[in-house]
Amino acid sequence: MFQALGVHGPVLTPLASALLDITLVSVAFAFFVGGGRTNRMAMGMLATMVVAMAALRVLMQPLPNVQPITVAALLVGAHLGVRRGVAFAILATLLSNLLISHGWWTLFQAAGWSLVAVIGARANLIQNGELRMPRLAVASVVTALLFGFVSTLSLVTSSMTPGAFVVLLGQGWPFDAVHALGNLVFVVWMAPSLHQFLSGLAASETESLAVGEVHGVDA
Amino acid sequence: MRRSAVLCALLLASFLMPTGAAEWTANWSADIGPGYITTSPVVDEERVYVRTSGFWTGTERPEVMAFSHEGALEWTYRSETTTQHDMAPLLLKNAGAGSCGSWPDLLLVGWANGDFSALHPENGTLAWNVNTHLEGWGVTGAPLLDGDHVVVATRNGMVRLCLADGEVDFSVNLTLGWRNGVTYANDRYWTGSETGHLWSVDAAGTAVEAVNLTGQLRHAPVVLEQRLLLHVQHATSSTIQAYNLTSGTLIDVLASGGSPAIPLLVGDTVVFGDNDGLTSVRCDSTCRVVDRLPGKVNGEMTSTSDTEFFAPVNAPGEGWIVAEVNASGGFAVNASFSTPHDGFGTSAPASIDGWLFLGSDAGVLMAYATTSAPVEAFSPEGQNGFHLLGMVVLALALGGSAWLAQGGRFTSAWRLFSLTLLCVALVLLPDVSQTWSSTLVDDDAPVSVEWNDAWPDAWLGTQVVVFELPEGEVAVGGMVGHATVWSLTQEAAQMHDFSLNTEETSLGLYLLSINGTEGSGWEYFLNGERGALAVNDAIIESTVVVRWSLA
Repeated sequence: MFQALGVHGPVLTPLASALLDITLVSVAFAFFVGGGRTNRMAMGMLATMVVAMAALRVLMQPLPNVQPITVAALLVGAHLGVRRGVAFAILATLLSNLLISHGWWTLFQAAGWSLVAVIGARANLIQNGELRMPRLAVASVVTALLFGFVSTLSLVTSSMTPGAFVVLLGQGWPFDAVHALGNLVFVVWMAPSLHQFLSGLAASETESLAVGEVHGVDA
Repeated sequence: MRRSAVLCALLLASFLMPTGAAEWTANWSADIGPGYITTSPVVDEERVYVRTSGFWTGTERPEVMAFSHEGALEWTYRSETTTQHDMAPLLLKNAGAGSCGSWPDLLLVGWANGDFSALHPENGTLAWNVNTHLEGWGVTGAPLLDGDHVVVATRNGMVRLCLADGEVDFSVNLTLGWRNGVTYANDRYWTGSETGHLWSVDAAGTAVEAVNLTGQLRHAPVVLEQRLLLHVQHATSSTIQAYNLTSGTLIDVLASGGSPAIPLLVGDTVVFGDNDGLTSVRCDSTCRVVDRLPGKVNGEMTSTSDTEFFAPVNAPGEGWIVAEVNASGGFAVNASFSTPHDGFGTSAPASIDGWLFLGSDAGVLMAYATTSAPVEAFSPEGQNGFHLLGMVVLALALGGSAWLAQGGRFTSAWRLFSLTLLCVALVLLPDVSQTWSSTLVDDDAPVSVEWNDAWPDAWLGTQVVVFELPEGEVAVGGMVGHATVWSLTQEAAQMHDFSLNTEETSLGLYLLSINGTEGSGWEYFLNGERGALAVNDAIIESTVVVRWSLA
């Protein structure tokens, strides 16, 4: 339960924590650089976005459950696809948790935001280069609740009954509501700027590939 | 635009509208120092008297204080020997004379260490003092004035003392009691116990009979129509019972909520309180329930007129219910009385000549007056100003959104509106989260599940903490007055010099280690049921066993 296992779940041994970190980083970088040719500048810009979102999350840590990474993950997924979205989610989680608080729950938060990125990639948030704000707003609310469910899974123990888990889940609903409201704020305030940034990022990758193809044809 | 402006205006008006009519105006307040106020102040024509309660360590001790009606501290009387939570109601007695002697004005005080004192109300000096039996607890219930004597329910019986000098008229052993007040009816003194007995004692001090109740009786029985009305306490519930003085029969009137309050006689109606709220009962050929009012009333109630009474709500910041009993015994008026210092509350106000004096677990004595009394600058510590500023900012933000929208700047309007909404949600989140969590969790597990027969009887009916440390189990009992797991745990740890290490989280306070032992985390159980709330949010009953185990 909440008090039984600590705030966030079981305490990991140093070895287990290291293994978890290595696994997450490996998966993130595999997704980051995989899937065809990658533009170094694009990678650099995406890495910058990881750092920026992680920093913003740390800055907003005093505000309970206000999570800028959720909307960012949706947009990264929408613009750059599932792999880059998942990579972004994992790296932003790892980096911010190193400063906030790192442990067993990091795995679930990373999984939750990765799921958000997948939803962003599949939700058709961009049409004809335009960001569909209403759809993004709805997605941000839904993913807030979904993230809450996934992160609550980190508190599950072998002795926990389904009823107790439901109670635990229910206790988090006010915080999930704040998460959803925060996402709406980020959608209104940040989404257009992020869309513009990520559109340029996506475009630069496409141009590089196009140039590469031309050279290949020349060759 | 007009619609937006009207909406904003209505929103602003709804926040700024006064919440209920107030015939009492705040006049003064006094921080009574360490401790809290758990029993009602008492008042005479010149002064208001209040006692502090708590668990005392170091050099601090409980006090009885006297203030003028205008708020000037006139004297304090300090008990150097009592350390437990003192809760026996204070009692004033005017000067008089009788067969055992004459006495001046007296303020009668029962102490948790077994002392029963008579103080001079004008200066707080000791007139006389009597030691009674101490077994974990001493005097915890309301004494009874009986002519030239005062009858006191002690920890294990009853004594009758002469008001003139405290001489013991009789002392009789019964069974263990706690908060056991005394009533006189049919030429006998009646008192309850923790062992499920209603004792009757004759004028000579002989225990005549013991009526078997189904639970503990922690108040003086209320006499109504040749019956004793009793609010019998069980582990997680209670039963309102009526004992017929003529036929000697005991009947159940109503099964009700846990933690019963001290019943109050209002005219021909007896008002009961518990975790379910208020219940009014009348008796003629039989005793019957007349009306019920939902709420959480666990302490003392008091009448402020022939029909109006105050009932403290034992929940943070809830103040008092103010209700009236109508001609048929129903509850006619339902309002709330709130102060800037509302905390958990079990004490009722005292009133006299346009003054209302009250206190709560916040440890502040407050005085309210009707409009004829001069109003001094009341010190709400900036709370009212802060709230007003917040409302103004909220109204401006909403108005600004409407204005931006009207100007076609919908993006800016949505930005301001959403940000405002988020700020409001963040401000409300702690209270909403706590209330929501409390509704999800049922912490009324029976205390009998956790009782250890090896524990002393003095712990019966009190709050007990068990620490399952690697080096062995440590149990601490006999505590009372704690409202949360955290408060109780702190006192228990203090008794054994255990260090407690905590972490503040978004879900509340989390206990990291006890006496340096962290392990893989600590979990707590309330009466055998695993706790689900943060320790500072988990509300506990007056009878509870909190067990701390390593996860």
